[in-house]
Amino acid sequence: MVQAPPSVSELLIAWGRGEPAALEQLAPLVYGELHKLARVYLRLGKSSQSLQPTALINEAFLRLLDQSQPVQWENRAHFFGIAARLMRMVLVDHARANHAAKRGGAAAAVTLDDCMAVSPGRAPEVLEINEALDRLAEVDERKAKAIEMRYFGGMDREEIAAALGLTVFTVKRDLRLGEAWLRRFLASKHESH
Amino acid sequence: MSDNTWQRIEDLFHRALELAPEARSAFLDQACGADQAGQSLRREVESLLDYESEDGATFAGRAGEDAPEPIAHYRISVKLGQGGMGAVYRATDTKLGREVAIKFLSRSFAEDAGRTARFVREAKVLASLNHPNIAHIYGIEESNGVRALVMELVAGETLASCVKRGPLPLATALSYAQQIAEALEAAHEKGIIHRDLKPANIMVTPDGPHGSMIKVLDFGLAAVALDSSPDTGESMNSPTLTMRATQIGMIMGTAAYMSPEQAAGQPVDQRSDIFAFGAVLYEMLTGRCAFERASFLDTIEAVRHSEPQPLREFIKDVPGELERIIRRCLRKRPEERFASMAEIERDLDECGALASGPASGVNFRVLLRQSKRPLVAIPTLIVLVALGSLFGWWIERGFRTRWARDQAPEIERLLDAGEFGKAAALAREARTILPNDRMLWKIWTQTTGEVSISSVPSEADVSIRPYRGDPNVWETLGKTPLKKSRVPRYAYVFRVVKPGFAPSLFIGEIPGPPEPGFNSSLNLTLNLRPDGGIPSEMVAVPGGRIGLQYPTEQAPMVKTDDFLIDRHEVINEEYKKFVDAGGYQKREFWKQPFVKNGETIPWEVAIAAFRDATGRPGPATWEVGSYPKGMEQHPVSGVSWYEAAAYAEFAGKSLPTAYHWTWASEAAFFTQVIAPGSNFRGEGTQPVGSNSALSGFGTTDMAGNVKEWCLNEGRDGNRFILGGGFGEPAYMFNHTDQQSPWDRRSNFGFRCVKLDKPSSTAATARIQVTTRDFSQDKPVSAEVFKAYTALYAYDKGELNARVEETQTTESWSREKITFDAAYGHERVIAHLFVPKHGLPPFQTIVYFPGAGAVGTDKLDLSAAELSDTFDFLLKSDRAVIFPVYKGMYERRDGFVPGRNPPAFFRDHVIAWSKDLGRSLDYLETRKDIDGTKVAFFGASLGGVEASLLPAVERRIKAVIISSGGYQLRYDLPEVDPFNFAPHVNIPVLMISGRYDQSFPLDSSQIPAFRNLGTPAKDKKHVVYEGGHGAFPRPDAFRESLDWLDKYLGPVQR
Repeated sequence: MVQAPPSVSELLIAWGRGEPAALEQLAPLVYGELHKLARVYLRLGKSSQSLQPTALINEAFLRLLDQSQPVQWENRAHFFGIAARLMRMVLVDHARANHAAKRGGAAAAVTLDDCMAVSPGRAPEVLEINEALDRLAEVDERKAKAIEMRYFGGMDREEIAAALGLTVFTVKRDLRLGEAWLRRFLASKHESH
Repeated sequence: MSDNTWQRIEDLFHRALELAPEARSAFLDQACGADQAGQSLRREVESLLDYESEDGATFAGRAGEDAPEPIAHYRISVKLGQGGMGAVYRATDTKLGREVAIKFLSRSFAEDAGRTARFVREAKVLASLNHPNIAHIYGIEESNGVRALVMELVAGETLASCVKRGPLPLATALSYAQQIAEALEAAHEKGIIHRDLKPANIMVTPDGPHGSMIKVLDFGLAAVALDSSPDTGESMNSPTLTMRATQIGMIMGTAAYMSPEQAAGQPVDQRSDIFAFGAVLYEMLTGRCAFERASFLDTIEAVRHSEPQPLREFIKDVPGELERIIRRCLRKRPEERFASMAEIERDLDECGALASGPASGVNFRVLLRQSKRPLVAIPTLIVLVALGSLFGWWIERGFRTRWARDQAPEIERLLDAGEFGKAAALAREARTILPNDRMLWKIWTQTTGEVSISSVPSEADVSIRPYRGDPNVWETLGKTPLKKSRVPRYAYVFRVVKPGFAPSLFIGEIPGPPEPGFNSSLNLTLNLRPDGGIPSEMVAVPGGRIGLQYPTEQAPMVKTDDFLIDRHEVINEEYKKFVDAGGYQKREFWKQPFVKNGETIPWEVAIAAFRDATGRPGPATWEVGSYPKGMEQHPVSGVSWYEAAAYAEFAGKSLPTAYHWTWASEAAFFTQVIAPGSNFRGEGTQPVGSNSALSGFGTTDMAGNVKEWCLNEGRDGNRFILGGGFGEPAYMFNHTDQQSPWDRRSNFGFRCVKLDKPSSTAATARIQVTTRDFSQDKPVSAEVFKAYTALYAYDKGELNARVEETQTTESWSREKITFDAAYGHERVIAHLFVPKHGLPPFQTIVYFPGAGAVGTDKLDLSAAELSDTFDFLLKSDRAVIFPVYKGMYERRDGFVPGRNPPAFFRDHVIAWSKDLGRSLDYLETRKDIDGTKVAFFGASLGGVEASLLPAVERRIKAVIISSGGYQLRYDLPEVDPFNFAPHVNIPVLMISGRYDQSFPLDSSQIPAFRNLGTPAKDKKHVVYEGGHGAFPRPDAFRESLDWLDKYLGPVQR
């Protein structure tokens, strides 16, 4: 007998209950959706288009979730927590593909803050940020995670706190130190170029 | 790097961040040590601090380094903010020498020819918008493919951040709404739709002739940003997916204010802005976004299909008209909304007029001060100002016009100086030059109020004098019927005189701009009585619909006819006639049944209780059948309610009902002017009429001197006794007190009324309001309590403490300190008294005052507060800190206990807790204070919050509650002391009066005491034979000091 696969909403709820297997089923769905959306955006916007990961995740969220089933706030936070991780992977994939395709060509600018649709200065590239986050994770994994959620998932402090099981205060501190660390890291990379 | 080192770095990083930047180096010097490891640690922390940025949104590099290159002749300085379209910087126009704001637009704009052209077209139209409530656009600049919009630099804060602090007062919200409406109207006239109106796009500037001025930003830019250029051929199925990523980001922030048609991707017109305007107005009034939900999807869903929570669930007494306006703005179908902003403006104006009303007790100057407060409170410069643009306008208009317009600040200054007549005269004159000038008209309506007085018969002369002015200088207003005469807003004594009739006097205040629940003008009809129709010792009071004051304000209102009331309290000389006439022997005067503990007592038995100090019949304060020598003109005191009633019978009068008394006193409206001149502080009675303060309708001494018995029965056989007496706090004037009819204390007296016909049964009925029964309630669980405490948490940011003034006496020195509040952009004021004697570091008492503090504009630290409340603490060589908590004294913000919506009260309690916390944070920075030995002293309201604050603020080591307990009402659970008291476990001393009717012994004091989590051995309840705030001082002082000695330890000398 073939069972209908569980919906994303059901998976989220199951995962919220603490069933790790649900994540195994959920992640590929979200990942696939994000990839698809990112492709569309990047094609649509051509090379100059900047891309807001958080908007993508929102889109994915809207498209994946069973609209008839209300999603708890906590589950939304969990979804965005997962999606932030996946979004980062998607963007890195795209950036690498771009690099490979047209070496030296302009990679899509990725803005890591909702408000920052544009920066008059030079925005760091996805790959740089990816590397910086990897390095930060070696020093302090939790901070890297929180920053990933904030900038790739567009999550606010309350949501990050819910997803990571921390207090908002701790998240705030984590972000503050983590961001300083990242900025320093990126700046040193630029200088060394 | 070891985990350990990283933790060290983290700790030092955050601790350093709490310090001022200039203090960090010294801190790290000390914290890191000089050895190699220490120095490397220090370098690590310092380099991270270099890259720290609080609003750290960007990874683009070191904070501050990503400022763009200069563009054209603009020198870029600091970044002001970021919006959906790009970053905004402050810049200097080096040609014109003015400061501007520059918004850098995305490269995608510059590279898209179609959009660029459209943008330039739009910007030109926008630049033509020259309106004081719209941030001006100066032009467009381009350089290296970067396009920038040059705009007026507007100082102030966004409406979004204002509203974050809570709902705005109705008057403020209306004023802002009118300005926003004017801006939108001006734009719509030119065919410009804003399309992205939201609180974040509205600036509140601290200048402007009448307080805050509104500037609407980013007109029409959303249209450009959202416009898909025609050459982008690709599209997808979902409407949202046809947008670019940036567009989606922009919509995300705006969804909650977007009209349903806009959300559905349909074409929009000005009615879309009208929808957004409704949402903004709603948010100003409620502090809550009408449609915002947890997710974008839900928000869009709400915009399209749900109705916001009704306004009146947030604000009591919201004018129906206002609610109607908002509802109509927020209709889902554009054709059901207002057709234009002009329509809304008209309705808003009407609404403002309707909502302003008589007798609110609101003084215009108070409002003026409040509206000016942002001057102090707003630290950050965010965006703009068009000093320059005013210039052309200036030259165009003629001198007279300019003069007329120029008067606004002068009028304001005159008002502040108390020169009301001059202010109004100037406004009147300016209006003759510019009769149609909107701003002057506004000032005119704001500086004046309408008075309509009729009399029967008519043709009586009406004159006025300022309440605090010369009692002999009267200004004629006109003859009755006086219709809508405009008078500067102020408290006056009105006099209505007609030959052959007795003159009528009353206090009338022309209140300031509208406040919820009050009418808008002074409107009165007087029935004049023929000369000789009023006994000389009485005055006439017109009838009215009358409500009672706290804590019986829920009692239904009662209508009364005109009546006469004694001009002053019954004096000894008058009462002696009753005694000498055998009043205590003649049973016919004693008509009220004597009831004690529910049992009726025969007259013969009862009368034996009414003896003077020498056992003769007469008041308790008398001796040998007479009053003390020289006290003829003093009010009779030491009389029971039965004696008062018997005297009234003897005099052919009656005792006033609580309604008649309250109405005649005008206490509900004019406490602020009446109470200060009345006898509350003296150690005894004063001759009647000897105080400067006139009470309502030409009476004297209704406030203070003696408390006055009223007819009505209260709970448990008590009778009402109103107005407060000597030795009581002045706010007792506004307190419906009740006492045992047998009590004969030295500040108990009375006055009589004379009625044309007997009072209605409603007026004489027993008055009992349902009050909270704590024995029926259960505090919330520990878990819920924990969740509540999270509301009180705050970040210990920098205090930025400043000493504003110092004062030194021979026994103490006082510093007035201000420091950053833990919320908003406010500064907390605190007075720190440090004793001259004794050895530092000092133990410290944190004082929390009674509710009078929220009804008083200014903290008067002269003798009153000191000698009565905490001088004794200073004398024990302890320091006292008196924080001015949010909503009190200089920090008044419209908060009135019992009158505001519950959420407003909640926000204040939470703010008080944070103010307390910040005060303790400050004490910790002082070397002369021992931060580990801090006690809390709460009087009255402070004695209520004493059950709550120490449960949240754990640095307090001991508590003294003076005249406190539970208020007999329900507060929101997260600020209900009842839910917090079980978590207070430090020593608590409670001092109270047995007859305290604000906090009755059985129903309030005892439950509050019992409910404290403190172990029985560490809490003590001392009950004195006294009332609210009235008990033997030496005893109370001794108890308090013993308590502090025991739990803070003896003082170092």
